[in-house]
Amino acid sequence: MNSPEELDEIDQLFRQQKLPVEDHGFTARVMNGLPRERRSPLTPALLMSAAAIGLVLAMIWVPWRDLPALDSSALLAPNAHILLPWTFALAVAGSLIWSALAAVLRL
Amino acid sequence: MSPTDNDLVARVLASADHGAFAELVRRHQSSIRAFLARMTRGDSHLADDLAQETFLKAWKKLNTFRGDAKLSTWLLGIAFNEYRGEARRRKTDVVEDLIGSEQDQVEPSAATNSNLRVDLDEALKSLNLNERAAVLLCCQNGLSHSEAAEVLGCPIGTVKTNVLRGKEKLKRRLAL
Repeated sequence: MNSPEELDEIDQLFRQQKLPVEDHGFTARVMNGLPRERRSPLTPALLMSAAAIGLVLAMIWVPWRDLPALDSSALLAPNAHILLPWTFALAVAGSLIWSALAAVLRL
Repeated sequence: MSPTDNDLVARVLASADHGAFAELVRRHQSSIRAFLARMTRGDSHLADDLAQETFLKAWKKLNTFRGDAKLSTWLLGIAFNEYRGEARRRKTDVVEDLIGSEQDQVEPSAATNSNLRVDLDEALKSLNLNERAAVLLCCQNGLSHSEAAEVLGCPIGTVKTNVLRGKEKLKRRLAL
């Protein structure tokens, strides 16, 4: 911006005539015109329900007690008989956590 | 203490916070609408339509705002592009330059205090698009020459020349 000593008659004229433009509903019109995110209010409830049902089914059907012991030797020398059941179980647990988190974040 | 523009921008970017964006619109609507009203030669309906489009564009591409310039300067850049796009669509660019040069020949008016606002609005019509934009940004919106150059997307020397020429024309028209 020009310093005060640089201001000439035209700058002074603009300064004198500077009036704020009243809002008169302009902000509301802009906000109403913003694109709405397509988000169903049912989405969080559906996600939470799916996560709850998935949790119950996983508790019943996944043979948690029969999972083979996971020790360092199984990790160092990959053994499909040990790692596959664990991979499945972790995938189920991960999906449930993900669904629950998504539901919470969309609330 | 009220949040800064950059705080509000961060909130919009983080969580699409409508309240924060509404506050930004409230803060900047006056300067954007005043700029566009005079760019459109007093067509307040067109100016408001363009201002609304300016803020919608700002919402959509706020993630491209780098924060090294002031938000007001960035918004004025969008507003000027909106105006230029509209002028191209209406093919008013060439016509208004002709009008500008014709009106430049008109005798200066004796400006009285009561008519000063009207006279300034009328006198501004005698400027071509680039002169009018440069004068408004620097004299009305208080931008520096370098900020105005950023808004207009042209070299700083061009802005200085257009401001100088524009002011000379205004002084002649207003008999200052």
